[in-house]
Amino acid sequence: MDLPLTPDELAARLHMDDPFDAGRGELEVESLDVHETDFALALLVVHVHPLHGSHRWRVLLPIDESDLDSEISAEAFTATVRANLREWWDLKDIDEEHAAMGSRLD
Amino acid sequence: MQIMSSRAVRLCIGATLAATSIAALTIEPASATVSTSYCNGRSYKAVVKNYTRGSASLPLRCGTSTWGFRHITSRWNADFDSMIALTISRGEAVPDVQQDGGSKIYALFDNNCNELFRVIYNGGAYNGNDVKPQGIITAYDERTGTAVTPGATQSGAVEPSYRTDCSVIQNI
Repeated sequence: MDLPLTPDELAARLHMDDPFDAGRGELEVESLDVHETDFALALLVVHVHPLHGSHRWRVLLPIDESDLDSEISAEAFTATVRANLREWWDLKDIDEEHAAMGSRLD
Repeated sequence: MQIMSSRAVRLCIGATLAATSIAALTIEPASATVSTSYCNGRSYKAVVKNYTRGSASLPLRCGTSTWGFRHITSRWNADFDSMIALTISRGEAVPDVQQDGGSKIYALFDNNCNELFRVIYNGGAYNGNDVKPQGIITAYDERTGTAVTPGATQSGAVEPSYRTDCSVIQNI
């Protein structure tokens, strides 16, 4: 399964904070692996919260086979993964499906 | 109070509320929204519908399981459709500069600046220049994660109050 950019490049582009609430902290992706059997990206994510410190999460983001078409731009693939990761971050505490995608490691 | 009417949206802005950028809005339940099966058998390129912000037109394409209509089909109903339209047309918009590919986040806030709804959009190309813009990647309710919309009445009408002057961080 070939991504349009290397896992390290993709991980570096996934750093994010919240544009509307700085109090929610920042997300940084420490590592990213491709799970070919699950057709997913396995991310080791660090959530840095201004009050509660740092916590590590393991997140499994499903990907679609058609998103790996060689014609698809690296920018669009990155934007999609960023949006999916942001969605998980925003919904993990209120939606079961998103909660199941991640597990806190510490 | 001046009342403006359209087929789907009635916007009522009182003089006092308008001065503080707070608006009360009633969206009549859409009787005919896009069917959840609309993208069955269609290409990811197919445009489900276009939303507007000023003169700009923002497409929602069929997409895949990770973006577009197929990604949000499980949340889709007339209220959800209306909230996307309202968030894009009236919400705060922030460019996602770190990704540097034309992404924007649109967000709608209540009177206390608590976020209600979010839409993530990519204005850049998805597949060369053949599919440009990629369009809406995802949309979700920040309070429920589902299609249960804050302010929804038993009749299905949506009556959220929202404001447009909440502070945002411009560099994300």
